[in-house]
Formats: sequence, C-alpha cells, structure tokens
Amino acid sequence: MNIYRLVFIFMPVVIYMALIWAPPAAILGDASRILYFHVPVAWVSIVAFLVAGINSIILLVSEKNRREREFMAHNSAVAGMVFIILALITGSIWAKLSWGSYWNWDPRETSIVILMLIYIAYLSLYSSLKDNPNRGSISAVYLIIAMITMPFLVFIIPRIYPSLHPDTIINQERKIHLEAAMRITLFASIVTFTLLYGYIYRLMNRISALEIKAEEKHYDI
Amino acid sequence: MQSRIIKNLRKDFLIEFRNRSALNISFAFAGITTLSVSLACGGASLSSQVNAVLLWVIIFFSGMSGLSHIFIREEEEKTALFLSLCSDPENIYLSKLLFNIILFACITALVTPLYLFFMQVVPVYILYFISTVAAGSLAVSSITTILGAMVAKAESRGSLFTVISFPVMIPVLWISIKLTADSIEGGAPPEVRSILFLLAFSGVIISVSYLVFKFIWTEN
Amino acid sequence: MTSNPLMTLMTVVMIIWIGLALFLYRLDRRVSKIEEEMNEP
Repeated sequence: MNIYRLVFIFMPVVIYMALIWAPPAAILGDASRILYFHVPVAWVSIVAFLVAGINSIILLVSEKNRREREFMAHNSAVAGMVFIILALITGSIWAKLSWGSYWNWDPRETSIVILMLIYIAYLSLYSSLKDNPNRGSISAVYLIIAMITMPFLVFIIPRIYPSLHPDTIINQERKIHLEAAMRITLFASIVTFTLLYGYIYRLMNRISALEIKAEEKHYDI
Repeated sequence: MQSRIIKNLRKDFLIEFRNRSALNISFAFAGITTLSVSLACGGASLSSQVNAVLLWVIIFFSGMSGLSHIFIREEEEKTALFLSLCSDPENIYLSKLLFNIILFACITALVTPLYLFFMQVVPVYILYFISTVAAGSLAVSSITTILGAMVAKAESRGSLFTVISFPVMIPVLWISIKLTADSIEGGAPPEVRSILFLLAFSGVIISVSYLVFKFIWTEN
Repeated sequence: MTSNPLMTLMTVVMIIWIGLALFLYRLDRRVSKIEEEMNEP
C-alpha cells in the first residue's frame, strides 16, 4: 500500500552491500564506500527540488487542490534542503579523503552551494509571506524559477569549466573504477534513498493535511 | 498588443520623469558606489580578476537598489489594480521588463565607463568586454523584473528582494565576472559561447516569466 | 573488534539506522491514528 515502507527492508541491505559486500575501489580503497551514500543523497536532493517545481507548476495551472499542492511543494523543498546539506557534508568528507582538503571551490561544489542558497532564499520568501493569501502562487513561481536554474547549475556549468579543477568525479569514476558489484550497489543505494525521501515526503504531506483539517474543524465546530 | 506595451512604457517613463526621485536615487547610488570604490583603491593597480569582481559587485548592487521600483511604486501608489484592469498581464510584464532593461542599460552605461576611467583599466578586447557587460546586465534585468514583481506583491522589506535575487543571479555573475576578467586581461581569445549562454539564460528567464506573470499579478 | 573495522562501521551504521527507522515508524503510526480520529465525525 505504502510502497515507501520498503525502505525499512532495503536500507539495511544497502548498508551491508555498501560497507561489506562491494569491493573496495582501486586507488581510494575502502574510503571510496562513501560514494554509495554521497551520490544517492545528492541525487535525492535534485529529485526533491524537481518534485517541488512540478508541484508548483500544477498549483498554478489547475484550480483544484491548491492548498494541498502548496504544502506538497513546500515539504518537498524542505526535504530537498535536508538532503542537499547532507550531500555537501558527505561531499566535503570525500573531498578531504580524495584530494586533501575539505573545500576546493571546484565548479561542481560551488554549483551545489549556489543551489542551496537558492533554496534558502525560497525558505525566507515562504516564511515572510506567512499571512499573505497569495503565498502559494508567489512561492510557486520562485520554485519554478529555482527549478529552471537547477539544470544550468548541476549539469551545464560543471561541463563548461572542467579545466578549473581536475575533478568531475562522474566521468572518472563511472568509466574507470566501477565494476559490476559497485554499480549494483550504487544503483540499489540510489533507489533506497529515493524511497527514504518518498517516505519522509509522504509523511510530511500527511501531517500538513491533518494540520489543515484541524484548522477547518475548529472553524466548523 | 505592441501599442499597449508602448503605451504602458511611455506612461512609466512619464511618471518616473515627473517625479525623478527614484531615478535620481538609482543613478546616485551607482555613481557614488563607483566613486567610493575607486577612492578606496587609491590608484592602486588591481589584477583583472579583482577589477572584474568589483565592477560586477557595483553593477549588482546598483540593480538591487533600483530595479524593483517600478513594481513597488504600483503597489504603494495603489495603481496596481487599475493597471490590471487596463491591460493584460502579459503586456504589463513586457512593458515593465522593457523599462527595467532600458533603465539598467543606462545605469550600466554610467557605471562602466566611470569605473574604467577611475580605476584606469583598459580592456584588451573591448568589444568582448562591452558584449559581456551588456549580456550580463540583460540577464540581471530579466531576473530582477519577475522577482521584483513577486516582492512587490509580498509587501515585504527591501532586503527580501536582495536575498531572493542574489542566489538566482550567481550563475550570471559568476560567468560575467570570468568573461570580464578575460576581456580585461586579454589572455584567452573571446569566447562567444559563454556570451550566448548568458543570452540563453536571459531568454529562458524571460519566457518563463512571461508565462507565469499572470499568476503573480492577479490575485485569487 | 578492530580486526575488521569495516564490520564495526557497519554495525554502528546499522544501529543508527534501526534507531531512525523505529522513530520514523512510530511517527507513521501516530499520524495514522490521528488520521482515523479526524475522519470519524
């Protein structure tokens, strides 16, 4: 019924796969296992922001269920914030292990910080619009703009500026270092963390729906 | 549709010129910031990277001080409702956008030569430099128009506008600063690709804003 | 236990996960209970 509940089974399995079953990588050794946590978390934050943007588009376009869409978009953006912070933390730990320093102002790292700033700005906007009846529409527009700048930041800029730093892990790791077992583990981990996000997102939405119902009931009774 | 847009544009220009305080403040801010920065640098010769950064910081903050005005004025003077009765949201958006583009082009045209003069900077690739500044300021105008409309409807403090605009503008600033530094230094040959990127970014923002403006402008 | 540090790490992470999972599950149940109450009258 609630497919996201599968995360309770998948996660322990993935933890085992990531830490024990998968072979250590060529150069980094066991430290490379952080890959199985860093990549999924970053991926989930992108998904969360996409979901927020799509909910915002639906909110603007269709007349029905406005209040639901409003909190759905907001909850997804909040979840995205949590995951992007985790991505930054795990990323800088990995940077320390691979390249010696916690932060390098590499184009990819910088782009993710900018993405995080955009969503912090969104949260400021949302909270400053507290008593405004148009909060849903206005914050929806901002989420759509944020969703549009996201591909520029995440996919295009790191491709345009490769020479600034010998990084962009995606090209290196995927082509050279990943064997079959590692690929399976990474894929499983991505799926599992997506399930985790789905679970949390659904839970947040249920709670928001209850909050709205509670307001209505006080009004009725 | 074009006549509507031009009519709105003329109206905005007439209002702004009738009571020139807002325009004066924008230009004064731009001029004063430029002069203060050059004064503070005291004739020291800075690297092209630092010059590029300073120039764009000045341009950015000049934008922040002046570009939300046309929407906030509508809300403050309570003319927003009448405006939405007279014209379609799309026409309103385009006329405000054109106003901002023209205004910001003038501000940039003031700031940039002043900066080059006082900081004694001569770009090696002048055309490249001019196109970068033009493309960058177009992007800044596009972003600030839609965000200014949102902030005006939100009835919030001035700093909210800066907070919202800055993150979305960072990619634009990042690229513009890099291109400006290159054009001042003259090391690498001009990269048309990046300027096209700036223009593409502006185009995307304008298209999306055009589609989405009516949802902000008309209240439900 | 330090003979295989990876095993230790896995145990630690598992314990953290089980703690989180129990917390999440409890939240889930509480929300379900409230949903039922809300839908009654």
